[in-house]
Amino acid sequence: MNNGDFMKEPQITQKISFQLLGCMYYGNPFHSAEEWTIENEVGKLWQRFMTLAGKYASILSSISTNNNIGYEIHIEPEEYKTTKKYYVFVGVEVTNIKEVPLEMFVKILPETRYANFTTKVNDKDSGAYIFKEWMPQKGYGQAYPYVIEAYDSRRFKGINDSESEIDWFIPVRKV
Amino acid sequence: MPSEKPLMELIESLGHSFDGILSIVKAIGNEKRLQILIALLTGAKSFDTLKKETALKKTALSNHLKILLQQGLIKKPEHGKYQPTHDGNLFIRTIEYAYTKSNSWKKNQTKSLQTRQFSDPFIEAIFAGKRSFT
Repeated sequence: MNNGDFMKEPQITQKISFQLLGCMYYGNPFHSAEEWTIENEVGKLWQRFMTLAGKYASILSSISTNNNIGYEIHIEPEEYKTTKKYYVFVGVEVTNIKEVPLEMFVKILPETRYANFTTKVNDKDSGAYIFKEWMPQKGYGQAYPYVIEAYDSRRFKGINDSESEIDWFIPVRKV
Repeated sequence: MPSEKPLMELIESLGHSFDGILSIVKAIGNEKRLQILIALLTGAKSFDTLKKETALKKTALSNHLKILLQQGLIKKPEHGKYQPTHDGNLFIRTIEYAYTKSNSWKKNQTKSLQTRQFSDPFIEAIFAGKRSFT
């Protein structure tokens, strides 16, 4: 498996608790489009979030920790193997949840350490390499069945720009 | 069952019994001694059986058994066999009862339900190709 595309060696973070505001999807994201494109269900989810983010810009701008960064979380439920359905949440990190637009949801993730690394948008190998080789070699296992992708608009210019970067956060624990 | 004494009476009782309670808690509050007490719930066991089940060395096991005997938590009904006393049973069952009613237990239950790793097919699915964000 290739790991030559890493921007730098993955880092283990301090314990972090993400509190996000956004939109949720449950199902098979490839239902309406087979490949990872903006036409699949996750692409549509982002479009829904962006529309709401525009509608509620005054709220989001006052509670968002960083308007440049969008988060996409993939959560595997136990039944995934048989249903091929899973949860996808997209949104932004927020400082408080006192005012939540009706159409949006709050996601508070467990406090945990993360393996944090950056890949180019088209890098298909590094993620699997992290799970199957890097983490076991370093004595880490996955703490929870989810992964966070962070899209920083200063470094992510769309899926067709091969220089676009994604920051990954995989919840880990010492094993 | 938890004590239903009125608060002041409870505090007074705890004050009077403080040293005794502390001795018991210290005796039980050790990983190996707790293991021994749990192992003996199924019935009397020999020194050798306990040695095997706890993976302790002879001297260490002797020391732990001595402490449990001194605190009246276990007894030797016959030569070379150990079993919990009425007190030993009472403390273990009371601790289990309290713990499984506690918020710590609920929190750990929730955590253990959520602590899983991705399946291989899921890893392949989420890392397969281009991302979706525009």
